[in-house]
Amino acid sequence: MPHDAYKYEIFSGDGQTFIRAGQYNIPRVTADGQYYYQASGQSYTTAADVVAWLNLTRVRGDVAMDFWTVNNTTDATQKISAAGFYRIVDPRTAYGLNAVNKSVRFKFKNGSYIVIKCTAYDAYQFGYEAKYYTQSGALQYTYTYSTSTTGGMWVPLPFVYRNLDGSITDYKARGFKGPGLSFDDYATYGVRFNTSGYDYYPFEDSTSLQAWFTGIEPIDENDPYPDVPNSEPSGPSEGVGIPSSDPVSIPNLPTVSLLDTGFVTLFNPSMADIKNLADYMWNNNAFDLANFKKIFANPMDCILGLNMVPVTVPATGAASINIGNLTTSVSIPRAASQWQELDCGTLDLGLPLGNYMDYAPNSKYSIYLPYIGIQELSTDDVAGKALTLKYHVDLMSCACIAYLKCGDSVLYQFSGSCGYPIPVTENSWNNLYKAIAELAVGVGGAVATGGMSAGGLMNGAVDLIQGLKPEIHRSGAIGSAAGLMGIQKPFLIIEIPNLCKPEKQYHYIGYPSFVTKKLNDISGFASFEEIILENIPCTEEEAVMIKNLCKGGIHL
Amino acid sequence: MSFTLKLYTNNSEYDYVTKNLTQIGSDISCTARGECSILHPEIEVELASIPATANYMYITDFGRYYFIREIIAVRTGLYRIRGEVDPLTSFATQLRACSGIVHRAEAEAAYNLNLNDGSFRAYSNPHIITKEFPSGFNTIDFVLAVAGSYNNT
Repeated sequence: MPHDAYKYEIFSGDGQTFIRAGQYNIPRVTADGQYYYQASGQSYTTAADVVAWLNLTRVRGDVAMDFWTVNNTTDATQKISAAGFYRIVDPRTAYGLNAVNKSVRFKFKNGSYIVIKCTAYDAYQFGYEAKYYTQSGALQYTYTYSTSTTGGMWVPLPFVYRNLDGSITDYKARGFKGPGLSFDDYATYGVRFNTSGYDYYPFEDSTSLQAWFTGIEPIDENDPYPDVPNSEPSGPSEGVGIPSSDPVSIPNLPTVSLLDTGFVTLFNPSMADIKNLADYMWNNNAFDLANFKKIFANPMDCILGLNMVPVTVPATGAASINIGNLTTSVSIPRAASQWQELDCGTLDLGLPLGNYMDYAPNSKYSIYLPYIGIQELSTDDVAGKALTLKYHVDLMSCACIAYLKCGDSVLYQFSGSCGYPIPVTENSWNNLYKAIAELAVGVGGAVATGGMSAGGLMNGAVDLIQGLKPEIHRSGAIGSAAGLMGIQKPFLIIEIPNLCKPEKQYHYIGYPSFVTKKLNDISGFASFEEIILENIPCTEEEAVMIKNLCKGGIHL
Repeated sequence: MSFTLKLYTNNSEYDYVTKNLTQIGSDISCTARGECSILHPEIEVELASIPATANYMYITDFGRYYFIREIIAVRTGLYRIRGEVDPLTSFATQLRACSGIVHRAEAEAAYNLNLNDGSFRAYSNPHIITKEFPSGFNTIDFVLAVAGSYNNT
């Protein structure tokens, strides 16, 4: 296991972090014969010697970058880790630097790059020069190397190794046959291994490391080192890439409730409970109506509303209802919360056709939401994604909101009303609800100073704000009574193209493509946007014929 | 000018890089009739009869394959063949080493069905599918809102 003290970070020349060691593992490559190193007079030619080896990137069939660690040095305390470009600068390879001034440029995603130029090449010697440029084009480091052999050459990676304590590990050679990058000060920082072997690997795999390496390109042999990096037309920006998406989750139910104010209580009555309450208020001699009317004109003024709702009201213990300041003997289960959630589940349809016809404008998606209505959805938002639907319902106002989560984010929320008011009072439910809210936050202080009852203030507040009451927009929606009579289960309505497809279409005209490929890597039918004919000893007329045939389509 | 000629029966379309060829007989000696184009050769062969299935040939000296466009019986035992070069098959090996931007492909490794290039067509009557969510509203409950507090029982 890696120890924190051994961790290090690799920065590019301009200080951008690329790799943090200790987070990655190197897959061990055990095939013999793929490596050859010599340090302090000892050769490493077996899998046991080289404990970790990683070929990072293959460019045109050649290894562009290797990371490796060597275990068995002559000094048991000397463990070596190195990184660099290897075979791409090997003049023996097809794209190696096998001619003086032949150059390649390695480009990194942050804009920094290295230019490697062959400085000497004949039967007796090979040399090269590597220049490291920051993304602003500033030359930061020059590395030169020459040898009397034409074997594999190393070019160190264009990084400084910054330790977690902020110190910089510079490039250092350890007597390799080819120049390398090592950590001989590992005793205090850098990479360290057990004397019995390695105990962790600093890098993981080529996928993660390729993320910052964009590629390699041959450059003008006559001008391999452009002093002015932006000598090319700048043109439009390539952009900074698509940012990662932050998932937007369905929120939790509100934690604040009007029930906590004490001005209102929600009950979850049965039909019998409601009848008992009515009997108590209107047929019970014990109810002191005369005293009540000193405060209220009508006992029903205290009944803010009675609604049918299509969700289960979260009931808690039974309680006696207070009508104004009078306690009744009618006991009804209280609602534990003002809010309720209804999970309609997840629908994952995948992509019905498996091609671009699954997306807009060919396919269309809409959703039926009970108490809200039918809403159109953007096909590109929902196609191929798992759709999760949840309702949040306010039991006071009976307003509801439906959250539609597409994949990992909520992309839609629609509001509606899902309560069917049972008329028990002349006051509108919404007016009272608004009044109670106002009382709770603004007028509550008057209760103490004026000594007026809460019920009295409530009616006053109703008059005050009646004209300001917002309306729930229900255009095209199915709310309240219509909602109760409507379909209670949400569903998707999908319009999928009725695909007309000839048999073996792929064989006759192929499927759409826009990728660069070597013809040898393709079989069957292929047509080309463009093809570059290289090393074909044909006449120009034949070349034109071949190009035209390739553009029209050929069978490989 | 004399050449060595191979006559074939070609069972492949012109746009196949690798042709399905069946050689007819053995190699044949032939001569060019005057000047001979390497792309559109016109040659004469002496044969007792020319096979009716011969539609393709290879001229060793030119290193190229040819479609046989026309065969003319000049006289008994002498035939004039007009050919047209088949550059695809003639340079198949070198061509396969080239790279290009693929527009359409049969190979799965090369195509992407999410690219909209009008490859697919649809009838005017689409499928209309409805899919229910696993659950919905399935209960009715009452909620009574009363001004004021309550007394626990």
